[in-house]
Amino acid sequence: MTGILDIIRKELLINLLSLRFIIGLVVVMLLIGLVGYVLTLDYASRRQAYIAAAEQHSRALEDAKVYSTIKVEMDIPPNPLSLLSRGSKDLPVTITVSPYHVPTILDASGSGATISLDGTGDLPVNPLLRVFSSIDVGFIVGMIMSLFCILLVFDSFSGEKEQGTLRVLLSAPVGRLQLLAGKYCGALLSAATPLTAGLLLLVILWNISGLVTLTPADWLGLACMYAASILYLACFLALGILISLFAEESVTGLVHQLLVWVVAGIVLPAGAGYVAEFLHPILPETELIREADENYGRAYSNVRYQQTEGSWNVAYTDYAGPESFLGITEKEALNRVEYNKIIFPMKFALAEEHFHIRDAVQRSLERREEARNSLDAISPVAAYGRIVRALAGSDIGSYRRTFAAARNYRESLMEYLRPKVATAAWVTRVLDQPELQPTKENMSYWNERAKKEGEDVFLKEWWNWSRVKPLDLSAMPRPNLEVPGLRERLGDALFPCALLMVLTAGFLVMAGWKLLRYPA
Amino acid sequence: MIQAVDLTKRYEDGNLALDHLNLNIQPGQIYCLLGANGAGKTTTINLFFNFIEPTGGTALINGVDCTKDPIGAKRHAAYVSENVMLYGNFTARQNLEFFTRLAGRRELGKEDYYMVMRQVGLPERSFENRVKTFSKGMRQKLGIAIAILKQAPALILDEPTSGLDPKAGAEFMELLTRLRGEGKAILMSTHDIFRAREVADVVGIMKEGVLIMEKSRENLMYEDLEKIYLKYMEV
Amino acid sequence: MIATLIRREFLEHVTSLRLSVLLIMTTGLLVTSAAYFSARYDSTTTQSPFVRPGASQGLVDKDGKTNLMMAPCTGFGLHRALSPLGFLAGAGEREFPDLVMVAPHGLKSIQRETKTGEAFEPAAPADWAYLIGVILSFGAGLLTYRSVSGERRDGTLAQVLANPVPKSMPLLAKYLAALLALAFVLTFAMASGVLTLIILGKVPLGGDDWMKLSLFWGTSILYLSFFVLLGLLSSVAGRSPMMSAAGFLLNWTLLVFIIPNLGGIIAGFDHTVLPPREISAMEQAISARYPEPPGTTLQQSSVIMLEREDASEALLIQHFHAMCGQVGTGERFARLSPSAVYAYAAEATAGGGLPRLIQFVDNAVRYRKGLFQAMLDADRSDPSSQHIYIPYRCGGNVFSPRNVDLGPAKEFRDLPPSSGESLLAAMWDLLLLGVYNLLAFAVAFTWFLRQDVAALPGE
Ligand SMILES: Nc1ncnc2c1ncn2[C@@H]1O[C@H](COP(=O)(O)OP(=O)(O)O)[C@@H](O)[C@H]1O
Ligand SMILES: [Mg+2]
Repeated sequence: MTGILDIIRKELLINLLSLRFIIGLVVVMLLIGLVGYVLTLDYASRRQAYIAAAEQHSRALEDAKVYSTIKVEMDIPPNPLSLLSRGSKDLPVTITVSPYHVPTILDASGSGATISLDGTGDLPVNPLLRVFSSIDVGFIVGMIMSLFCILLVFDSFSGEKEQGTLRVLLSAPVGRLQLLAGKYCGALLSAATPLTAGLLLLVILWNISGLVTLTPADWLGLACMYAASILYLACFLALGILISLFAEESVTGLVHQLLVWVVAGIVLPAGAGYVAEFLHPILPETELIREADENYGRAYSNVRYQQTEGSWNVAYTDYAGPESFLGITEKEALNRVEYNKIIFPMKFALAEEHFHIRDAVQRSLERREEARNSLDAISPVAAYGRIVRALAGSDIGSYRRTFAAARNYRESLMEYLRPKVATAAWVTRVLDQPELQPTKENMSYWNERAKKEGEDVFLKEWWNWSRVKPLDLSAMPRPNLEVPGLRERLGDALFPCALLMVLTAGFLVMAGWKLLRYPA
Repeated sequence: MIQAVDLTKRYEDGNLALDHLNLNIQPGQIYCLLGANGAGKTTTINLFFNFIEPTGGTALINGVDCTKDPIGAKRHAAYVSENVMLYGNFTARQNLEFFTRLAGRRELGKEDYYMVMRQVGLPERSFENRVKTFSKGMRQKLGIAIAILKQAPALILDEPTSGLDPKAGAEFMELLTRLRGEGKAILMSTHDIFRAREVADVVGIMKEGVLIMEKSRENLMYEDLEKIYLKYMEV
Repeated sequence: MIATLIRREFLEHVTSLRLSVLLIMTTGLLVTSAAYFSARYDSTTTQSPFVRPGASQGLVDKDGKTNLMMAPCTGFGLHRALSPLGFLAGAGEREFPDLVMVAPHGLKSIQRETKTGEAFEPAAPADWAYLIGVILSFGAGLLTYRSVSGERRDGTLAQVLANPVPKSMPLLAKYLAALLALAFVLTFAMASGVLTLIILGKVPLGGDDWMKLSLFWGTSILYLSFFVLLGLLSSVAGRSPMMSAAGFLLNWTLLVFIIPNLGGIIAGFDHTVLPPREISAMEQAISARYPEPPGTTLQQSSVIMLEREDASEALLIQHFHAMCGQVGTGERFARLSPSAVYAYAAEATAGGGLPRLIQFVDNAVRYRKGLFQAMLDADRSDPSSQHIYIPYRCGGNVFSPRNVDLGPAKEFRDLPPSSGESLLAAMWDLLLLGVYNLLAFAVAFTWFLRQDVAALPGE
């Protein structure tokens, strides 16, 4: 047992004193520091934007005057752990829920993608910057630290063999497997050092700046990420040692490991993406939606609407401004309510149909993603990427859950709105407020004023929408979106974690097998 | 033909590896350079091929200054290194062809190469084998074949017989005497005192960069070279 | 002489396993990338009804007649023409805005049209420039990292230089042979990719595109040449093949992975882009600068509003250019790495990138101005019109109600740049790549020439 500890100590010392270790440490620390700093600012601005948007959206609800136009914007709170892994660029920041729209992840489009003059927010946003590939802590560990691991162990056996120290080591009373374990642990400790130091640096940065506050669950998530990163490094180290055992010469070992790295980090993920595209073509969303809309349009025009009395406003369309619906008589309003009873269920049905189409499209996309995942499953780099994204809540799985929550919310919202919307739309507000109806008394009063002040007075003052009282929505269910719980995110990370473990164990077993037959 | 005038080399680390060496080797002469490890033999030879720059003095081959006109000088000399390493992925014939073409002879055909390889005693079946699989002696022989095909008037060899088996060593010496018969000037560093005594026209002994003894064949005739060597080494 | 040396080196490469691995990997990836692009290219063109026709639909009534009264008030979309060569370097093509919303009286917004399932896309779809930039540059190292240090250690370098060849010749031969081998891989892989495109037949490649493809090929060679030189340099500088390999690796990681990826982060330190709140405050200030005092006639009001719109448009363009400037800052930093230079040059070659975006927005604005001018002219030629145009008020214009012909002003033309323009756009990057090459060449060769041929004893 002491033998193992001695070997670990020797390996650790040799590694820590080597140039490659120092270069690796400096590079990783610098990168994590710089990237962490910038991403912290980015998180702060996203958080600020979230708070501003949430406030604005809840205020918009307070001003709602018509049930049928209620549209709830649900803002997705940014997850502090997404600092470590930003995930896809085009993940949504708000989810829109309305009677006419069932949200799916396909609604997603990146925030602030539009350059225009109207905007809020105190921090500058530049949608053009998305052209730069994003670098985050997950990338640094996944790509740079794996290279660092290769550099640490590529000559662990072949080098000692070349120097002749391997024979000396083996002549000592230590088993070969013990030697392997010692070397491996030593390398793992050395590889973990920059990672630990980098993450500590980041945590200190968060504490000093006060821009990021972590809940206990976040801390736990962070710890899981740390553990997953160590596991990932362990996998690469095991692979490195294995290759170093097979290589006749240290250099060829290094080159082979680099090839494996390029294949695992670039070739496999890129290739898997391409192949998956062909295995699972996406459904043509736009065409399907257009088809559904056309069908709906035909059915809609089949419903005849009979106007009972002439109205002051000419057009009856859903979309001309709200003023068009004021100024009709009670009788006509009730007539229109009857019409709405037929029309609105059709609209809801259309929303459902859109949802089914989008859901099918989403499923096809998910199948493609699954295919991609299983195609590059063998690559530790891809597996690690999936783990950190899942833990950071920046993967599709987390967003899928968020959208499911949004749909659940929509169900409860519809329960509340359906009876109200289906029987009455804009016109009901006229029924609520008789002073807006063109009754005889009202007519003579306003005609009087129009003679003095001009025709404008009808629109400006009588049927002015601001005279309509806001709705009382106190009984309406309110949205409450949360970051998906840690347990669910852990569940998503479980499979790739197990994969990494199996890979690592496999490499180690093979390395042990080879070492027992290794000619010293 | 092979000439060194006050040739001096001090390496960057301050090590004076060669101190005012003077040599002159005529055509038809074999000069054997003896000396302990680190005496400066390889340094001397490296200077003739401009592998390193001299600190002082000149090395000349066929009267051409090896520093001022290295290409011209190298035209007249062939080189066999201490440990001939050729391109492992190429066959013996491919290596031979490559180096001969580099030496400026492009007119040769496969048979010419086979002939030379037979001449230096390479087994027939190894002609088209990869050099990777060759033993040290076989590689050494191939190195000599390369040197022969260059048809240079000067031949400079750095411990060519180290690692050769006794039979191969004897054959090699035969080959050298034959080349001497063709009028080549030959400079060879070696540890093999007995062979040196057999073939050398002149023997030089180096110690710490200085040529401390130089004796011609006639002068050596009745002396025991080994005794002389050990005597000089002691001082 | 050099031919002999090159032949040997080339043979060595061609027969080595690494070149076959490189060839298979690169070809496979370029082919699949091309096929992927082909599938995408098709769907993007068919899915967006606005891509092809000039986007003046807003002015066209049900019968297809142009009518000024129909002038769209909220704006209509102008789409960026997709480059059929987007597979070469698609970051800008993919990530930059491709839709400009304009109203006849002014530019409204610059945005990206969202595509189905974008969130499901891999973070950075690998285009040719990326694949070549990573894999073949790595391959350049593979072919060269041990060439000098290994031959010095083995003594074959001495064996070669014992012959009447100039000292620089072996290095030159190594350079040319490695470049030749890589060129072979590149050409084969690119040809296979292009063939795939032709067979799939969905991406129309015209005459100019062939020029651009050749330009891309040349750019790639220039880029790979740098990494061959870097590999040789590491191999000259490293005392053993291992040191050379480690040295190359370190530099390669820095140049290919670290520096280009920091571009976005460095750009964040450029503070020329104002926060949205300040921008909208500035817009409000513009409105205040052009007040409509009570009693303004509709005619005067129209003039004031149009002036206000002009100022707003100028502000938006200025804001957009500040954003472009910020991207430029990031790109300038990233250009410290030849990898980024290569990516930008390839992008310019493929007709994408920042210059193309600016060109597209310019085109859109110019079109908008031409269209509006044509509308005013058409209106003026109608004596029955009151010649009043009011921005924003849908149907509120008191303009000529007649059907008019706006002629060519109606067509929005946004062509991807020609091969000449592409070359011009890529010029600076190509020059920079040339400079990097020269630098690496000079350092590698002087270093090599000053070095002893013989290995240190004990190596
Ligand atoms: N490149 C070098 N740099 C520094 N010292 C060297 C170098 N090459 C050889 N030496 C030293 O020069 C001396 C002569 O070496 P060398 O000519 O190789 O000896 P020999 O061939 O006689 O065994 C030795 O002390 C050796 O350590
Ligand atoms: Mg020697």
